[in-house]
Amino acid sequence: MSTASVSNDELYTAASEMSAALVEMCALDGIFTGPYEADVQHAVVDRVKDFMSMDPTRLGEEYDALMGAADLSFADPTDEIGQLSVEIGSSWVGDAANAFTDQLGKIKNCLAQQHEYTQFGAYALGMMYATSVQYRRSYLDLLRKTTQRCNEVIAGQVDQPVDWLKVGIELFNLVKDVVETKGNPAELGKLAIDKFVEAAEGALGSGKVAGTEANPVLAEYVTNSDDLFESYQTTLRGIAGWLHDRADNLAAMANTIPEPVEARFDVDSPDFRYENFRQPLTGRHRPRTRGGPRAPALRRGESHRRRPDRTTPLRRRASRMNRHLGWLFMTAAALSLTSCTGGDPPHTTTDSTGRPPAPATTTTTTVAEPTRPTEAPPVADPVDLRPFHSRACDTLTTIQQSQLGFPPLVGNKANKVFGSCEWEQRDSAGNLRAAYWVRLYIVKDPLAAAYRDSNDFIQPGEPTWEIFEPRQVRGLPAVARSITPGGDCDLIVGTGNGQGMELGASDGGLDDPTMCDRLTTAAEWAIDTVRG
Amino acid sequence: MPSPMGEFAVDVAELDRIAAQLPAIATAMRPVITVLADHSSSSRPRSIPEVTAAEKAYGRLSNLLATRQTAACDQIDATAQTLCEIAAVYRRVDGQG
Repeated sequence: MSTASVSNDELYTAASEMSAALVEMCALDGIFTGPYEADVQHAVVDRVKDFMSMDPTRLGEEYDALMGAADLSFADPTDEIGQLSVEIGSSWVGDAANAFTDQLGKIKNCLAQQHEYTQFGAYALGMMYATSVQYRRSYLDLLRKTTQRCNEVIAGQVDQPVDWLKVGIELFNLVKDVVETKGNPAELGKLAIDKFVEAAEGALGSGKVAGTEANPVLAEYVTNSDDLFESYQTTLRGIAGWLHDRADNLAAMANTIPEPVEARFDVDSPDFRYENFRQPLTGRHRPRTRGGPRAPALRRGESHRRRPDRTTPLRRRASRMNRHLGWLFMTAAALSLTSCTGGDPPHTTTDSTGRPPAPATTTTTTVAEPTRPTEAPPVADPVDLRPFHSRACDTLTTIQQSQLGFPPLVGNKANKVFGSCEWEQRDSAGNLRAAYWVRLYIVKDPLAAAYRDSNDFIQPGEPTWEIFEPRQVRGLPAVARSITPGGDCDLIVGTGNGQGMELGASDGGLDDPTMCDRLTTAAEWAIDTVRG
Repeated sequence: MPSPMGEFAVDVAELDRIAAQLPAIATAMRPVITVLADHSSSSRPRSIPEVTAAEKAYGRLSNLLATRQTAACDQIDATAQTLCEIAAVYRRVDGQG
């Protein structure tokens, strides 16, 4: 981990400088009235926090920790298990010997899969790291170039539009290809995390900061900032989908986890029969002797004399193991995957060409052809959101916020630039536990955008939006959508005339299945407020 | 009447050696479990659902890996112990135990 990423301090400083320039520019044009400087700064800083939502330093440390542990754990032992398996075969003959050779073979295969998928986990961290690094860099440049533009407007020396370093949504495919074009997973080896950042460089393009007066420059910043954030969200959805694919594949391989050796080969088991160890020898099968004694034939019953009780260590171990594995098998069953059937583990690491096999698709949803409408329903009775754009928090009364379960607002949380308000709930350590927000769009129709993107998919067969549910909010068309059901929800309401309202929630893993319903109620009350 | 027993072909010292080597392998494989378990508990909530979703997906993969790794290591230990017991029986029958 060495690629320097834009720090939080750099972002905060640039945001502070930009908001100061923005305020000065807008003051000259009389766009804002009153003591708005703090409000504008707050609005800009809110967006800065969006791009600081992942910490590249932590991601880099986790990548190093996982890769380091994987290298340490898997480098030699997997080969060693294979070698021991061979050695058992050459020093012992019989059914029992075969059973132990098979057992070590299964363990070896399982560990090889573990190595491969542990690396996948690390690579996902690499993708997130590259995403965080490049979007921070891009947003920092947008802040600086917008500042430059504001200063030009203030000085009355407006020149040609300024270029800024814009990251495109192709970033996800570029970082994904770092892993997937490497071919045989066994040959992937240890990738430096910087490889992901380098690959993501290909997603850097240029955008324009245009406008010759305060209002267009302000609008340009909002549009550029929104576009960049949407691209950031799309990239993260891609990474989440990629990870779920790998987890689905791994869960489907539950039958490759070794089970205890058959009880009939355990000398402590009541199922033990020494015939199991008998093997008529031929010259071809006779094992190589390495100086150890060759045991004579066991006599029936000899092994049982030293075991008075029937609760054998192997059975106890097996029982313990079965309890331990129960969770995994329940998970597999819950995912409607094939149950553990035993037998040989599938050879999953490479196909005949030496390339990784295509990931098995376990989802049952298919969106190969667009299945959802792409045009939003018309709005019969439009609502003008402009009067509330700079005071989005006021769309819900304090009592309503409380009834909805929203945490109390601390300070002024209205974002006057973006027309939004956010409610945050933090634990005693200051960690975010849940967040709710409302945003009023007055120059963009979010419902039209939601319908246009309704069939987006991470890859064929995997829709971006697992839930996309048309609803009605006080007679207005709306849609509730979610990337992962339970807990997180987006509710978007079309209010007509190119405007719309978006309400969102993230419950930080609490998985509240009523979240979309709560947001629908919130939207109804907010529309009531705006209508007056 | 059981049929006459044939000869058993085993190098007991080899079985002992293999049984003794396996636990060290399990021990070497366990450190990654700690890292995976640490990462799988990461329900680090964010105000951005997409970040939360990526974190959850990563946590899910880590959790699966940690569970499988633990099971594999436990099986290595169990296999070693069973092998050891078999070697002991062979040795006792051979009059060396």
